[in-house]
Amino acid sequence: MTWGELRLIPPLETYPRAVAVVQTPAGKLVMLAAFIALLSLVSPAWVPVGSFLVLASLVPSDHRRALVAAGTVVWAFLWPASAGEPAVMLAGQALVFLFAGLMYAASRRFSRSPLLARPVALLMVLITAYLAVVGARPGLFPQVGLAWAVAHALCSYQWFIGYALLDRFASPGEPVWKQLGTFAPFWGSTATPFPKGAANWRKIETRTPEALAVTQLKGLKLLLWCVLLHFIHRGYRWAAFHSLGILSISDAFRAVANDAPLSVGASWASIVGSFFERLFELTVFGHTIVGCCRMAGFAALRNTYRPFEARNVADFWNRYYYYFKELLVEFFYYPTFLRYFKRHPRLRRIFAVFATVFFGNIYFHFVRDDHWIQKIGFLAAVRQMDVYAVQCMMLAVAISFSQARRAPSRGKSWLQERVFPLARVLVSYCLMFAFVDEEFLVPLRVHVRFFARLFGLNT
Amino acid sequence: MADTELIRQMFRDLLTRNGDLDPFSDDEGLFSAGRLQSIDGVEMVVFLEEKFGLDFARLGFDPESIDSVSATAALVARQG
Repeated sequence: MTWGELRLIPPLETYPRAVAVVQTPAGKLVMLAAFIALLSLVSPAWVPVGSFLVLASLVPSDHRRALVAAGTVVWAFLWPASAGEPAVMLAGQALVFLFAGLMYAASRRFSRSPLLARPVALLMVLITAYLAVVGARPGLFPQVGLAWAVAHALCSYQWFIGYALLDRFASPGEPVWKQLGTFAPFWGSTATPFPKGAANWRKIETRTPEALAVTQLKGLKLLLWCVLLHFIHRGYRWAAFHSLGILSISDAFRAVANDAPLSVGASWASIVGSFFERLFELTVFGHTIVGCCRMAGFAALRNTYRPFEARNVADFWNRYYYYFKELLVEFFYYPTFLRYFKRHPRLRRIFAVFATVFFGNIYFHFVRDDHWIQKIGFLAAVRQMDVYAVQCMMLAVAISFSQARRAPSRGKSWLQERVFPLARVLVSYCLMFAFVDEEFLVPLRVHVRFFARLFGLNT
Repeated sequence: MADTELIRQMFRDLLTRNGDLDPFSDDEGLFSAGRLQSIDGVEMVVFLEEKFGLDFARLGFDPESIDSVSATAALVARQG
């Protein structure tokens, strides 16, 4: 529990009376009404999400997965988020769902086949090859045609398919429809699944009315905390960027690109301000999704959890964006760590960190932002990743160091134990923000100049 | 039995290193409950390689198989 919750939100799920009350029809109704009212403050999709949450609370637990799968179908096919010709986009989604189902079934059926021995790697190769072909040059395929509809769906669902493939050894195995039912569930996701695959869902699914009540109360509490943070965030944004006049990081990059004067203090204010802005955004976003997931009966872990208790960069990453970190660890770190440099322990860890934080991170964002491939072509989109590559390199180096420094903390003062490590972590992340540019507004040399200005250097 | 105690001790060490001194049962999923993190999973993998000679590159790695003391002991028993 965070400081804010400790003061403001009581631990409802530990009160037997509260747990009993929300198991009654009237209590459940009041809880759902309160939850949906809170959701309306932070989510534009509160009506459809709220409707499914009501249904998920009412159906018996052994039908919950079917209901969530139905929600996934509604979101994917009746209310797709992608822009474009609806029929073509739906056809693209359908083809990718078919491909995912076949690949999952084949990976279970032919797990000893050399071709399917590493199905996730095969998936990445297939998707990259497909993108290289359709994006060979801009305009090669019609912007609203089936080729790009399939590309968008592949990029959106890649990691959902990946988690299904990781589940191929799960015992008992999950049927195909349950796997497909986890593909961007109705409570929301990005390209990063919240939470993971069907086997993980089975593990965190509540099975008794009491467990459901406890999980839903935790969901309600989390959403209440989320709404409080949402309003604090609005206040922060007004104070930092309006009242104090701190430049957003994008404006700071533009200022440097235009050779406008930008002092050392203004540069630091910009990256620190933008770092906290990003932290607020991600926390509110993640809490909304996890709160809904819990209200639907799944005891998912938080996405952001006490980030200011982090002692090192790796720990902060874990606390800041848990599901993305888990994705990279499961798809890149473990496969690399388990196979390479086993006789060289230090090199083994460093290599796995770079495979994950550098290569994996770049690959994830390259595929996620497939609209750039469509707009400027595959090779130009690869070249455009140079700014992000610097940021990933900095993060990989910082995490390698933080792992090497992981030591018992006996005999340290409070300052040494808590304050100095957190300060190091925050400074490290703020420095990386000099290379955060998801819209590719300015070239790498501008980022380098901005970075130099942080230290009073004019290049 | 001795293997299970070794595994239990390893889980205890990992939790203690994270400042988590709460008790745990053999069937409790410590990773899925968020009490241990993926970096702890790496320590567990190294421990299983060194103490029991497990080769995950050959076996295939399922994080669920090291989620609890009993799951890990079952994995070791299957490969033993």
